[in-house]
Amino acid sequence: MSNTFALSCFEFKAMGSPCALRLYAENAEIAAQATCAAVSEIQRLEDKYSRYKPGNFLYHINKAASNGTSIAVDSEFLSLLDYADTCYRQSDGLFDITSGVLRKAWNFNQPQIPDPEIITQLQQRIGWQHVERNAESICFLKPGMELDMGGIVKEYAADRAAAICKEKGIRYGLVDMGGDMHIIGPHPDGKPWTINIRHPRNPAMNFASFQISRGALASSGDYERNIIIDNQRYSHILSPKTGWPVHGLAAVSVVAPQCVLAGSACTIAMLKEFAGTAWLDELGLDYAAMDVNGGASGSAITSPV
Amino acid sequence: MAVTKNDKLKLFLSAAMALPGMAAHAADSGVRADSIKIDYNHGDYSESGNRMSVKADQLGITIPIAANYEIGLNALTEVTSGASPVFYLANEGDAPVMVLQAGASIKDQRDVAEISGAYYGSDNLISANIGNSQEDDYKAQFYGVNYLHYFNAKNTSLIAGYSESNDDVWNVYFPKGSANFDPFLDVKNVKSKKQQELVIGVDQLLNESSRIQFTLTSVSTSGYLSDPYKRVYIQNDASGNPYKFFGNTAPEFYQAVGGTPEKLEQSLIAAGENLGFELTPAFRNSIGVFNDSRPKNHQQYIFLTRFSHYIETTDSALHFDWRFNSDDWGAQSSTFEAQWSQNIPGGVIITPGIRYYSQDSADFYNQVFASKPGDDIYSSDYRLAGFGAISYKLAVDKTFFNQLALRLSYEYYDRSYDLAWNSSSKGSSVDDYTYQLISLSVGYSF
Amino acid sequence: MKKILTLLAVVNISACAFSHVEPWERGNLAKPVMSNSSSAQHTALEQHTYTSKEATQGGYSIGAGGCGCN
Repeated sequence: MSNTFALSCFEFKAMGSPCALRLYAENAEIAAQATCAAVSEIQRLEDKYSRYKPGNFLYHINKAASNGTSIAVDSEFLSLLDYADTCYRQSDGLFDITSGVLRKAWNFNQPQIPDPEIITQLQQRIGWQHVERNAESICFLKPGMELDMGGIVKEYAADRAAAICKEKGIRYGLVDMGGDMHIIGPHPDGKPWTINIRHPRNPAMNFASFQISRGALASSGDYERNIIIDNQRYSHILSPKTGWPVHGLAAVSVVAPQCVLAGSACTIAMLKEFAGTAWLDELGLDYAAMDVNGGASGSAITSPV
Repeated sequence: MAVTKNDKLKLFLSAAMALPGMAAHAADSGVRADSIKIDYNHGDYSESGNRMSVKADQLGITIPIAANYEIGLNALTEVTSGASPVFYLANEGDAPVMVLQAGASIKDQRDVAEISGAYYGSDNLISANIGNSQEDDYKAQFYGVNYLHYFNAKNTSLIAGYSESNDDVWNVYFPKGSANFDPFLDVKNVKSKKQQELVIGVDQLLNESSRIQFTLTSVSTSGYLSDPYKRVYIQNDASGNPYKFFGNTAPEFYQAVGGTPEKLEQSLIAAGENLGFELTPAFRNSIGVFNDSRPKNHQQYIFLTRFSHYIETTDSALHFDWRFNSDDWGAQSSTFEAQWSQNIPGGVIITPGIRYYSQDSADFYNQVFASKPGDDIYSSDYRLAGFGAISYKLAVDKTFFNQLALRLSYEYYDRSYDLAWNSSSKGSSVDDYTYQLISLSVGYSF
Repeated sequence: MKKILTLLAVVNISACAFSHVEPWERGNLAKPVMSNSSSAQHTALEQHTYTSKEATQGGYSIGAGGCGCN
C-alpha cells in the first residue's frame, strides 16, 4: 500500500502548558477529525479536573475534602484514584495526591522559608490513608483536605488523546502535552521520533536523547518552576514527609508504554531525591536523569551536544 | 525500550492499563461489550441450474447485564425453494444420470430461535445457549455450553465445550393415511437422531502480531441418519437378475436438463415421479429403487488449525486455516482456507479469500449399485460422494460513527468431482454444481 | 490441484518470533482486520451452508445447530 502521508501540526494551550498534536494522515479530513476529537477529550479532562475552574467536578470533590465528608463519584475518577493508590504504595507514601495543601506554605513567586509551625499544621491535613474509597463514592476522614490531580491528569490526557487518534485511524504521530508525550507511531518511513532533553543548568545544551517509535515519554525537573532560597534551588514538587520541596534530581525523563506511568515514575524519582535513580533502576524503565551535582545516569544519556 | 518484567513494574503497568480508554480499540479478547447490539443478516443462496435457492434472514440482539453478564437472542428464518437430486439411473454405458425430484419442487421454511448467555470473569468466560429449529419435516432442540480459561496474562486460552442437538425427522410427502404410506418411514413413526459435539482447543498469542489456534472436535451422531427423500438405484436383485420396469428388460433412461427432467420413452419411473406423487414403496422396490440407508452411527474427529498474522507495513492481516476431518464413514476431508484482510482508505476493510475443500466418498456411497450391499447400507447422496470444491470469496466492511457496522460479502463455490484430491474416490461430474452466496450483515450498537 | 496446495503451503510463518505479549502490546491483535470474521451471523450462515453440502460437520466451535441436513 503506497499511501502518502502529510504531517498535520496543531498547537494549542491546555492544562497550563503549550501542547501540540503532530499527526501524519492520508488526508486533511482524517487529521482534522482526529485532532478535533483528541482536543475535545483534553478539554473535557481539563474542565473536569482543573484546580482553577470554580464549580467543576474537582471543585465539588475538594469541597467535600475540606469538610471531611463523603461524595459520590464516577468510575473514571475512581480508576484515577486506584492508579494514584498504586503510585502511593510503590513510592513508600511519597506520591500522595493529598499533599497539594502544602502549596499554601510555599509561595513560589516570593521565595522565603515558611514558618515551621505552618508546615506542621499543613501536614496534619495530608495523608492518602485518610481517603476511603468504595465502588461509588469516596470519603475524607479528616477535614481540611484537598486532592490535586495535577500529577496524573495531564499524562492521562496525553494517553487518551493518543488512543482517540488511533481510533480515528492515525498510525504515525505524537501527542505532546507540554513535554509529556505519547508517541502513536514513528514517521511513516519507519524512522523514530528523536526527542532531546535539555540540560537542566545549561539551556543551550542537551543532556539526553531518546529515539522513540511508539510509547510515551514524560519529564520532570527543578529548572522550570522552582524556588531559590539561600542560593539553593528547590523543585516545585513538595514532599509529604518533610513538607519541603524536594532537592536531589535536577532533571529526569522516563519512557514507558503509557504516559501516566512515565509521568508518575518521573514524579516519584524526583520525590526520592538522591535515591531517585536507584529507584528507577529497580523499576526497569529506560530513563535519563541528572542530579543537582551534575551527575548523570540512565541509558539515554548523551555526551554534551 | 528495555522493559524488564519485574513485579513492581508490572503492578504499575497493569494499574495504568486499568484506566478507562487506555487501549485504542474496543475489544481486547474476552472483554464484555458495554453497549446493546442489534444484528441483522440477509443471505441469498442460489445454485446453478436452478437446483436450489435459499433466502435466509436473521435478527439478533445482545444485551449487557450488570458488570459481567451478557444475554443474547437470535432468530432465523430460512426459505428454500427449488429441486434437490434424488436418485440415479444408469444409462446404457453404466454412467449414472441424476434425477432431480421432479414435479415436487421443494418449498421449505426453517425457523430457528435461540437464547444465549455469557459470564465474563477476569480469567475465564462461560457461555451457554439453547434453541430450537422447526421445518415442515424436521424439528430440533439444541443446547451447548462452553468454558474458556485464560492463562499467562491472556496470552493462552484453553477452551472446552459440549453441545447437543436432538432432532426429529420425517418425510413430508407421506401424509397420514395416504396410499403411499411407507412402513419404513411415516408420519406416525417419526425418526429421531442425536448429534453430540465435544470440543477442546487452545488459542495462543505468538507475538504482538500473530496468534494461532488448535481445536479438536468430536462429532458423534446416532439414530436415523439417512435422508428420507433420497433414493438409490440398484440394478440387480438378490438372484442377480436385473430389476424390470413394467415388464421391460432393461432400465430406461432419463436425462435431467437444467432443473426439469426430460422424460425419455418408457421411462416409467420418470413418468410416475413427474405426476407429483411418490411411487409406493413396494412398487419402487420392485424396480430397484430403494430408500437411502445409512449406518445408525457416525463419528467424526475434526482437527482445525487457524493462524492469523498482522502485517504492519500494509496495515493488513493474513488468516490461514487448515481443517482435517477423520470420518468413520470414510468421507474424510481436508480444507484449506486463506483470507487477506486489508484496510483501505475511507475506513473500509476489504477481505478477499479462497477456500479449497476435498472429501473422499463414504464407504457405502455409489452413484449406482450393481447389487444390494450385504449390510443393507447404501447411499447415492451427492454430498457423500468424492469431490473437491473451490470457493472464491470477497467481503467488504465499513463501520460508521463507531456504531453501525456494514458487511457485504460474496462467495462463488464450485463443486467439482475433478477437484477431489483423491482421484480414486467414487463420484461423478454429473453431480457438479456451483453456488453463489451473497450476504449482507448490519450491526448497530448503542 | 496440487499446485494450489503448494502455493498455500508456502505461507511464511517462520518470520514470527515467539514472545510474551503484555496487555498494552495487544494493539495489533485487537485490530478489526485480525478477527476471523466481522459477523457471527454471516459465519453461522456460511458454515451452515458448508455442512449442508459437505460431509464434514463443522469443527469451528459453533456447536450442534439442529438443521434439516443429513
